[in-house]
Amino acid sequence: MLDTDAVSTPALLRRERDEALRTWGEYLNRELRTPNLDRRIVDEFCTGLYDGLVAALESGSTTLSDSLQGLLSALSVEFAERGFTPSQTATFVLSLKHVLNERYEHAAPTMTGLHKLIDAMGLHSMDAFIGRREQIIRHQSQELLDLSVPVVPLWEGILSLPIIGTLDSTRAQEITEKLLFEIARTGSRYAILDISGVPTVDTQTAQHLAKTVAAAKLMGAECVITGIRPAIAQVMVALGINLSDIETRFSLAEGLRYCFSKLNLTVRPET
Amino acid sequence: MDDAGRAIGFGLVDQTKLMTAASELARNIVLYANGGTMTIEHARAAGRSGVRLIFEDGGPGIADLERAMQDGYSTGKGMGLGLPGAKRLAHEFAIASTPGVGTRVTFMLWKR
Ligand SMILES: Nc1ncnc2c1ncn2[C@@H]1O[C@H](COP(=O)(O)OP(=O)(O)OP(=O)(O)O)[C@@H](O)[C@H]1O
Ligand SMILES: [Mg+2]
Repeated sequence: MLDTDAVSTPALLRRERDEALRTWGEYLNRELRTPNLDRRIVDEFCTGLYDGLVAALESGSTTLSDSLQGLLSALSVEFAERGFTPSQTATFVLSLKHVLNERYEHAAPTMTGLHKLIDAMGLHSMDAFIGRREQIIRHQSQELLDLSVPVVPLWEGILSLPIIGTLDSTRAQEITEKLLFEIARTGSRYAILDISGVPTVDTQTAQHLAKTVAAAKLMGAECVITGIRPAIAQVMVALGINLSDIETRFSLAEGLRYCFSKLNLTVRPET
Repeated sequence: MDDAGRAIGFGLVDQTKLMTAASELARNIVLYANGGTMTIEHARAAGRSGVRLIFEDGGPGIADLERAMQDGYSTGKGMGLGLPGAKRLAHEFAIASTPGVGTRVTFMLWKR
């Protein structure tokens, strides 16, 4: 039954395709321990990978075709998004080697081309898996950054921006971009930067704040800085930081009152 | 840093001074000396207690110290307030620098 002629290895694999796929599927079901993975998805990937491998062997190519790479990437992305581990992903691909080895034990010498291809498939799936995971992580940290820079419209034409945490260069850049974007989107003329959540204001922080205010001004919006705590005010004075050309108010409420007055709005009790 | 100040019972203002000075002087080391060390010491003298910060680097050093200590002098893109500002935040402040060898800044804040 076994054809040990290297040239016909692909022919052999093609002939016994269905049986090999069944064995592989059973093996994966046993070994992967991924109960929440749809059997149909497993079968689909197995079939695609198997056929892709046979086609590569037939063509005598030692590199992976675009379509095979695409399939491997799709598999890895699927696994990464479902929260599977790298070893589960690698096992999926590399187990084909194991399955074929068991089936064609004494034909091993003719299988080196096959092994190399499966190894390349395993490596490609790892690259794709890690790439997707990194993408997810980048995405999540971007979401965190966005969360930490909430621009809240307080009133028509008035934005507020509570800054929480250390204002380093990266965050200052993020904040400025977000603020300018929101000023343009909402056509706001006032923005209240509340820094009561900033632990210290050193020369760099102050410089960042001044730059943000200047950029907003170029877009026709005036910034009011609020929430400078007493200890921070003292330290800023000692450092020699001068924000006198920037409107500052003690509290967010005072800042809002300032913006109201500039917009000729008054708040008074009902009579 | 925060812990050091809190441990010896600094108030909020002194705590903020300590953090701000540390931020200024550490940033200088990173920006101009390509790294160095900061040492925190619990200082005790004549019944007083305080925190001493020592910043040491093996960077290019500062040729004109007098100028570097002036408000508004910066060879970078800064406000030029880090060194003179840190001095104003301190109870005791010392800076020594040798061009080509490095810089050492001592910042001392006593508990009031
Ligand atoms: N550790 C150091 N090694 C070498 N040069 C230094 C060091 N610290 C400060 N300097 C020099 O002294 C100058 C003044 O420092 P200072 O901290 O006062 O201002 P700055 O860092 O330029 O701006 P700012 O601190 O206001 O953001 C610096 O521009 C730099 O040339
Ligand atoms: Mg500085």
